Amino acid sequence: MSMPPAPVALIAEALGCAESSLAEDSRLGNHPNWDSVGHLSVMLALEQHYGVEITDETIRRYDNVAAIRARYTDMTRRSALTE
Amino acid sequence: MDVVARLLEQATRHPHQAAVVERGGTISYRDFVARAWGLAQRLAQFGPHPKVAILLPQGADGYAAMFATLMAGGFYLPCNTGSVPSKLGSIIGLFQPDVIVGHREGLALPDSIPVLADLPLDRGTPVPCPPHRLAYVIFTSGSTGLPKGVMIPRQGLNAYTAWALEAMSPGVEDRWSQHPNMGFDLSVLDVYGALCSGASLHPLQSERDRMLPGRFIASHRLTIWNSVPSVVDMMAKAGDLTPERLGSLRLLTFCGEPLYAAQVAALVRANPTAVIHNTYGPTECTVSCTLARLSADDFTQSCDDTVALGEAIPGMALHLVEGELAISGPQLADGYWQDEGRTAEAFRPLAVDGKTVRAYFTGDLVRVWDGKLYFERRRDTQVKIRGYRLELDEINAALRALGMAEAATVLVEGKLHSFVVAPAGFDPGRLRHALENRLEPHAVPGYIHSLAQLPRNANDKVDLAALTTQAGIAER
Repeated sequence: MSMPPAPVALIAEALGCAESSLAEDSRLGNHPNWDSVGHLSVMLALEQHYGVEITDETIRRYDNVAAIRARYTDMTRRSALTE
Repeated sequence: MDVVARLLEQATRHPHQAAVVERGGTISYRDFVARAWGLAQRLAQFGPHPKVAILLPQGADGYAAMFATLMAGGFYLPCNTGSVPSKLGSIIGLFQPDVIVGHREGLALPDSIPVLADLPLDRGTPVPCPPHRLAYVIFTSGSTGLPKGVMIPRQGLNAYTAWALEAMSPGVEDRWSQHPNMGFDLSVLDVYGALCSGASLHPLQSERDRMLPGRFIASHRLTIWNSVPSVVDMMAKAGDLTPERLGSLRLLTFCGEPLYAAQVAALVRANPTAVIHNTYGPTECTVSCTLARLSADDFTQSCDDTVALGEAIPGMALHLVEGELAISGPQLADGYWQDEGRTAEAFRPLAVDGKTVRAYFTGDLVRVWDGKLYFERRRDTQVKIRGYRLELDEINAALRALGMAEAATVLVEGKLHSFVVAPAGFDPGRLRHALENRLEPHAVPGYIHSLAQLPRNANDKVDLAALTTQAGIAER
């Protein structure tokens, strides 16, 4: 199974910004590119790469780097267990 | 014809027709009127012309509260319940309502203001009270940091609704979107256009629906869509500008910011049979007062890089005064709420063909190309962000209130850059957090730059051009 892209690279690509501009506490509203349109890009990337269904709950939950990193960590841990 | 009479006529003709289709279910015209009339009678206890703040989200109760206020002979303040509490508190404090309909949790308001949280049904025959001169007072961004209330007369609302029904020909077969929040006057078109014509109104109530409007259109088989143009960019980003998503629409109408030719081209590729309305107008002229009607065959004739503003709608007149657009006609606001100074500045007599008319000076500078009007730029520092009108000085006022000695803000490529002369120990993260508690999300600057001093031009004014250049470099 191919590994999904790492969170910061995925978020940076979705937001069209440099990875270096994202910190652990970056989130919707506190990064110049992470506005409502940017958040749509992030959610579409999560849907495509991590299989996240876009719902009201996931829109709220995955609005920051830390939560997306936790999702990724969980995915890769499960992937390692099944290999 | 009054909007209340129009609603009652539709409810009589089509009592079982869906008036509002929302997450909690479908509300028929008969039940919708029962909600409005039940509330109207409770509002009547606050006098012959109750002053009502409506603090309800987009949905049947909120729409019913609007009609209820008008039935009771009153006028209302529509609030964006998604706004920050400090802003809502400020607006309600300025309006000083007799009563709040909705929920006031989290707002610092005097306990003396009564609250009606439930809308009781009354299936009796409504007998509307004599109307007040005003229909609603809606607040927009103000340069002093305090929002300003635009007083829209009932005759203005009636004139605008009459135009919408004529131009859009809605009816019982139509399923109409309700995208703009209640504190944004573009919602007026949806509420009165749909419910005065027998159409069903479909509010986008969830975050998912608002993020993915193309999927909402497809799932509800909507026939009429109304929003700011930047929503088209959201649809494009989601891959939703397709016949599968947009094929049910017969009419799309846009207002609030420039509509780009490229956006129209993408829409007509997805739905070549739909008609597109580009409309223009400040809040001070009751939502909009021009129309450019576009189709797949002819839209390029009304486009530069943006779509032309269109012709004045019946009853309204456009006047070019040294490049600035001024507007006259029955949809003009009475002025600004408790602000005679600003009212006198913006609403002035204008000589037209030997007569003097009352005109609203928009501050919009326009250019004429091939006989058509195009928006050029503002004469002041007002900007639009996703359709929201924003005075940059509102941000600067908030920054100064938070201890910044000087502040100036510019908009560059859709991003707000604030420049501040900060005190010692400046913490940009803390400042941003404080701004988030004062300003609506669209008004919080993306970038905050700290400078030793702000650049000045020859007149000793803050050199906004230099700051714009600096912001452009920072973004790269």
